[in-house]
Amino acid sequence: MGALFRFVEVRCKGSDRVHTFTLHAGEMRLLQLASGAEKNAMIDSAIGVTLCAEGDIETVQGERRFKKIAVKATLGERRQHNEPLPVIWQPVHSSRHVAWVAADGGLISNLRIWENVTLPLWYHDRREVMETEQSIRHSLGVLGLKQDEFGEFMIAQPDSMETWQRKLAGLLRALLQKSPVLVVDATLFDDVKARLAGCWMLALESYAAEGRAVLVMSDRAMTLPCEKIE
Amino acid sequence: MKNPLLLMQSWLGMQGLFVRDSVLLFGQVLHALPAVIKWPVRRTLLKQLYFTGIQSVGPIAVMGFLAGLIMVMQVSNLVGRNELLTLQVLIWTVVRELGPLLTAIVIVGRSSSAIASELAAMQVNGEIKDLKRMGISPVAYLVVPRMLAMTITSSVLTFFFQVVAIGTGMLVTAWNIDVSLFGEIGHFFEMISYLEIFAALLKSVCFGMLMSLVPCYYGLTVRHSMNDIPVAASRAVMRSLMAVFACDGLITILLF
Repeated sequence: MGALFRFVEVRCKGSDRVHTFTLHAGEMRLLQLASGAEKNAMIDSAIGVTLCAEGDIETVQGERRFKKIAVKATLGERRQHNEPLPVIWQPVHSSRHVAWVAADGGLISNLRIWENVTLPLWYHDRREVMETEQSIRHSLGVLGLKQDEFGEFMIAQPDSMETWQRKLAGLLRALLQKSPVLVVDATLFDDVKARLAGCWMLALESYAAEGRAVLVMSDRAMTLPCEKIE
Repeated sequence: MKNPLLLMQSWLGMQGLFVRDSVLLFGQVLHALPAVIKWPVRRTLLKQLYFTGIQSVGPIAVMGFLAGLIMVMQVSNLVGRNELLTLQVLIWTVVRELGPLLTAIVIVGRSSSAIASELAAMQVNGEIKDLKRMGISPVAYLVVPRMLAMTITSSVLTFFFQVVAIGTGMLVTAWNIDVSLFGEIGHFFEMISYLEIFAALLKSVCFGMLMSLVPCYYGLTVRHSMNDIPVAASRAVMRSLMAVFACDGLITILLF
């Protein structure tokens, strides 16, 4: 299996630990980090929103070339990130190669669920409505939602939903993007019924089995059915 | 007590930073303008056009009607039964100044505070960061459609205000001093110049940009505290109004 995601001596701000590993197609692995802050910093670096303090994070693009999405910060860039500048000036250089599942769903509160779910999909790509609808129906079934609940779920506002429903919407949004690499915050599985968590794990496993990779990041020891990165 | 000169220096420095950051944000908006072809951005644009434009038609119509009525009554008291002078004053005030300015004040009151608080709430809830994590530029997705919608809305509503105010003024004049309404309309088109139309259009476009840029700036620069949301909204309204009046003064000095 080809390599999809490579961490080379990556260290995040405020952490002493250095991580080096490669994620291959078909793999789902768990990276345990020391604290919540380190986990968040690592997720941001993995997605490409911020720079890591040291090391390189590389992704494989379509033509199988590695491309750096987060590089060692230069002095000027470090100064920019350390200073309390307005958030709007921070560069957005997220890679479509890596999708992300938030612990709490990461939904936008003034959009309905269907708008939230299709937001990154239709922002980055032109997809047919029918095709998207079919994918959503299929994914919702896989994620353990009953078919007669689909309509009500999709038109609901995030504020009116329960925690597990928001998490489900966040997971659905990430799965629909079909990015080669999926970064999952392991807190997603907290406070979720065992049956549902089992469905979601199966969905992530089958996502990885389709030639993609899933990287689960946690800030404490968890018993998830995936190989741990030492 | 601190040295007043140092306080003044600090205040001027803050104003300078505000102007610099606003100009930078405007540059980012121009750079992100092509994103308007993306479906989610277009959808936000349509929502903003509805909230800022369609829902403001009623208040603008009422204000235009009252402004035209008051203006004509006051001018008639001042100049007597002089149809041409009354019309000239209407053009000077409504087309050149009151139209763009009063429309801007209504839009600032309705929409600028709403934009600032909406974006500030998104910032406090971490939704702006969530957008970035999805690879979506907050400027492209949030600021571009708001600025476009406010600019379009400001121009259209200014024109609407002017039509209502001048129409009311003409009707009242025609009824008050017993002259032909069609004659008045003819005189109006003879008197109004292209420069006045251009000035009104330029003002409304500039006001629209300022009224959206300033609240977006204040909304997005909020830190992570709920207390900052009302502060951002109030600052956005005050600063938007100041920016609009300053811009109005500048354009008036340059053109007339």
